[in-house]
Amino acid sequence: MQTDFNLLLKSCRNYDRKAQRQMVDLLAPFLSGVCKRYDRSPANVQDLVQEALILIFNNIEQCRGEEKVFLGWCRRIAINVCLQKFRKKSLPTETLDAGPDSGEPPGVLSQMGVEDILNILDCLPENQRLVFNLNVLDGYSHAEIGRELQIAESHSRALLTRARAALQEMITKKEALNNEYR
Amino acid sequence: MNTDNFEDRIKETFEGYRPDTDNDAIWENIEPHLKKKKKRRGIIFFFWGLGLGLLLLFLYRTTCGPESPGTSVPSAASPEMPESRNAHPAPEENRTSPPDNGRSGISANRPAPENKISKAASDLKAATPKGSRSHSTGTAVVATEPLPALAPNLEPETAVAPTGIEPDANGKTATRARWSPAPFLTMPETGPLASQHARPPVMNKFAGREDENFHPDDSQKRKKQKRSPLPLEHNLTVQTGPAFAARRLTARKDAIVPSGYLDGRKRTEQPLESFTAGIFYSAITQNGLLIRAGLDYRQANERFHLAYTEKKTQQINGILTQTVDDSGNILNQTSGPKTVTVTTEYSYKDFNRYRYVNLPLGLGYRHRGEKNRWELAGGIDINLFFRTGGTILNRYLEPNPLSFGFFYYDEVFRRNTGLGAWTSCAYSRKLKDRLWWQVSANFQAPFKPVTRPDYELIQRYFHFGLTGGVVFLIEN
Repeated sequence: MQTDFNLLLKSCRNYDRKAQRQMVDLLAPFLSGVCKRYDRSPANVQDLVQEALILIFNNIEQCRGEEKVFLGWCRRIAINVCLQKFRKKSLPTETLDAGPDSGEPPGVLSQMGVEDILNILDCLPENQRLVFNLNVLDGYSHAEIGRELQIAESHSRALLTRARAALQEMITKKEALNNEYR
Repeated sequence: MNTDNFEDRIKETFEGYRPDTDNDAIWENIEPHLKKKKKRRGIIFFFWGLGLGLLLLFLYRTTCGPESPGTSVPSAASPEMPESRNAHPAPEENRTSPPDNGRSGISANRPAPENKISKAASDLKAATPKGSRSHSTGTAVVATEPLPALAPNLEPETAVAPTGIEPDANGKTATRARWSPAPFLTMPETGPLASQHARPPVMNKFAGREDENFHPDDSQKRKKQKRSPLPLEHNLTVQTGPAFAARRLTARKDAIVPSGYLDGRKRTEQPLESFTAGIFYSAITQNGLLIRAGLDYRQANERFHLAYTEKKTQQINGILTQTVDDSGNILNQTSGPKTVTVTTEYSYKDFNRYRYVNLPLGLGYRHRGEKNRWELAGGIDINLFFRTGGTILNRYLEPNPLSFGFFYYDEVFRRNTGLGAWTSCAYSRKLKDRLWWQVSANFQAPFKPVTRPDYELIQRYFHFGLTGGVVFLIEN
């Protein structure tokens, strides 16, 4: 399977249209999963995926690695495309008061699906959601986040703390609601 | 708080998340924007090869040139050559053979009456086993020793069959054609047939020994006479100077350009100085044809300057009025909400550099005077290297630093501009025997813009340069 992927990748590096079409089948769902965390609108997600795919195929020579490296590179491109959309919006500053005190992670989380988590993430302010996505799910350091979003590193840390607290609060509330209706 | 566990669960949930996508629609939308298979390289290599081939051809003609047939036998002075040639002068018909019209070896198609050697030698050529002492080249066959078993008619003597020697009217072989007309090339021979036939000097060379009648100067004269009809002068030119890089920045017709982006880029980028430096090899024929190849570096500098003002208005609680006495003590003050406007001025400056390394190949004409010369040349440029660095506005009108390897760089700029065209007009004057100074006006432009085809704008440069330098005469 890995060899097939690498053969496909090699053909894509030679700008083979058939290989590129096959690669779209493999990459589009993966990139869509990444982009959906940054923008929930299906139309926007498709635009972001298309933009990312164009960049990937047109710059594929720059990525020398095989499957794992290539997928990491694709993910990075998709995130960059998403961030470019957000860069034009300046991140609103906010007071950094302490978030709500949270206890253990709620058990309801294990029963939640991706859509539920996405819904909860959607409830976060945009800047907090961005920082949470970048740091927790995509593994960016605070220094990198600061550079990408043009904010201070300390601000990134503060936003992440706020996001964590808010998420836990929301999950706790949801769990309480579930218990009430049970 | 166990946040790691909580975050790990979210991570795991997203790990294998692959939402459904409309891949056909995506493919239809992206396909027109994808790069096609690269064919440029083939064209570049074709021109490379063509240029290189021309250069090599002229170099070959300079160094080798068409020579007399005998001199092209590499093993002529072989130590295996017998010393007994003059001691046993052979009859004329045994020394020469009919020509083969330039074909290698001895031709068996043309009969050679009274020439036993001819047939024997052709037999020899056909039957000579590997390692036997027979030398065959494109123009002559030298049989240094008889091989009784294979060629019983061959006399124990060196036999030479140069091309261009034809039998005379009597059927006898005469040494004329290209050698005989020149009087200084003929030599008296001390044999029974000396009065009838002249032996070409090349024979002496083949014999690998000195002959008292052989004049070394003759071969030099002959070489000069038979030299290439296009003798070359080899020059090395080093030049540098200021240039003006005219920039053309336009919107691509089929692209949707964000409003104000084109104006923003034009407003923020101002051209500064640019310069060029190069080293060129030129070969000039006697009739003035000039062939040039070299290495050319160009750099265009620009200044990026973005200045804007940001105003923020906010309501705050503060002092509205204040009454103070002469000594500055506050007597009375009123507080309340008030509107405050904060104005911030931002200024961002940087320098952009566009660097090219090109390989120019071209042809031209040089007028060769005694003390001054002028030339006109033109050709193609093969871009070996193109990089830029600095800052430009991105499509959201933000200053975006550019550096090679950055993501945004590859969105905007090419890594190579491919082929281009150049032309130059130069004037030079003699300083010393082999040294000339030169001033040159030149123009260069790549065929393609420096921006990528999928970028919204088209950025193109035309370089006008005025350079000065020196020309070294390598060889004349």
